[in-house]
Amino acid sequence: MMPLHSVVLLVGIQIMLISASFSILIYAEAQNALNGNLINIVGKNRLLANTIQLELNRALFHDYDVHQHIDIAITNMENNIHIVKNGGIIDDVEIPPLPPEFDSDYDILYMKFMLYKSMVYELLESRDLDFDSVEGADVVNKALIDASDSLTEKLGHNSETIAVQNMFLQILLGSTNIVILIIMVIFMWRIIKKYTAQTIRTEKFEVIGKFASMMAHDIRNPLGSLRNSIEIIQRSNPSLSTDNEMVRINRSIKRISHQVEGVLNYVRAVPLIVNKESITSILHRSAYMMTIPENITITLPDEDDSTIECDAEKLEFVFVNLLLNAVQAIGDDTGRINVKISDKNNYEPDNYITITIENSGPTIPDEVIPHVFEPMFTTKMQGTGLGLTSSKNIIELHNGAISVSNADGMVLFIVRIPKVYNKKRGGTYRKGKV
Amino acid sequence: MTKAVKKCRILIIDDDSDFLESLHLRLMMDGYDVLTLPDGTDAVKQYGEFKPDIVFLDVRMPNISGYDVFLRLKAHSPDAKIYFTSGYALDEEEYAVARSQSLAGIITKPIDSSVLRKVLDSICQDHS
Repeated sequence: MMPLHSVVLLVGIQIMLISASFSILIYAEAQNALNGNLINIVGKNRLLANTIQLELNRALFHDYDVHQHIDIAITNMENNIHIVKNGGIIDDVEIPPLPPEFDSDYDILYMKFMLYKSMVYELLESRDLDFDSVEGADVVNKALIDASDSLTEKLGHNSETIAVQNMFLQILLGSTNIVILIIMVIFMWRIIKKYTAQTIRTEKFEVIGKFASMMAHDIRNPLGSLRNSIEIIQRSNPSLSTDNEMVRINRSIKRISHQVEGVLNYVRAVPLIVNKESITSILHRSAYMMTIPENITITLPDEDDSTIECDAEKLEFVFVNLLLNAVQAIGDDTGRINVKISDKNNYEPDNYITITIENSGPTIPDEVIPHVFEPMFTTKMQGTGLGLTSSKNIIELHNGAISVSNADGMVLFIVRIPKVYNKKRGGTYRKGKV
Repeated sequence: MTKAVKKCRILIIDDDSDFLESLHLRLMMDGYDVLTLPDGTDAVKQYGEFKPDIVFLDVRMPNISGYDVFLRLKAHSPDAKIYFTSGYALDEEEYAVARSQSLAGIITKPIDSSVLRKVLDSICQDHS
């Protein structure tokens, strides 16, 4: 993913988290505010109950008909109790239904109300009001008010608990957002830093790559002239063909060409030119390119005519690199290089062929092995640092694989490529990547 | 009875005069009939007159690129046997187009004797 996309994604996630947190808090606060409305409605029962009792008392001391007033007050209270249970809207204020955990308290309240209501109506209908009967109704009224107050208190406690929970929720969400924000900022800072460094590095390498590509390309022309001139000299003086110095010049031309190819293989888009080629011949040509020092013994598989579909020139580049790598690894010690081909005689289509180039070391440290095919990774004084990277690219273009490992004191480079090239699966060269 | 022998004709188009002359000489020593051009501006006309059996064409040249010369030559003579002598200057798209128009191949500088012989033998064997 592009770094810029990562940053946008992270900012998006952060905005979503903050929005979600705010939504949760707003919802929680709104719910608690509704609970406040419910408490007010429950509290109103006390007022209504007192009103009824007051009217009853007035009926005792003032001889006039209070029946209608009491009737209205009882109906109001009944409606009020109904809303406490089921919720509703009073004067545009939303009242939520009573939470189920308060059902038993509600039942008590309702039962007391019904008892009080029947007592009041009985008294009014008997038209035989006296101080004792009103006093009796007052006792039930107090019980009703107590039941209402008890529910009010419990709802109040509940609301306080929710308020505390909301406060913790605020702290939790706030802290979480801050922590995530810090992590995001660090993360984004690292991405941007890496991206910036990468961009600078890429731009730098692009310039170097273009320059290297141009230079390598330009070297090929005089090298071509040199090669032609050597040919002409050798034709004019056939005795020179076997001259050691001529052989050395020819080999030097090939080696310069190989170095140039290393750069070009890495920095430019180059298509594979696939033909049927003898892999053993390619290996022998690669070995010829090298000056194998006397302290190193090299064994190669015998040349034969069995062919595979490949770009011979590029595979030669790969094997020269692997042999060069082996020679340089052994250095001045006595050592050996063994080149082996698996199932050499089994050239069935779609099968793979495995070429192992092993050298007697020293072995590659474990921590170095993962970096061996990385560009510019070299522990040697010679070479471009692109050889093994380019080699890996070339093998992968053939739909093959290359690996390196240590085994029994030997360093093994194992190349595995299909005997039949599959163009559809074949990779393409990177263009201009350095 | 001696079989009639026609000399294999080779056209080399390259802006590097040293390379051009040395390859010219190298091929002449082998008995080929060679024409050299320092750029591709006049390539189609010269091709028509010289009627080469094979063309060695540099890709990166001033005035007109080898790739454009290739397209012009192919438009004029679809059967022309053209080898690019510097495949690295081609991008993948150009290479794909060239392949679709029967590019004979790519040989890279410095040109190896065995590669040159193989290429010439494959094209010129009917004439020698």
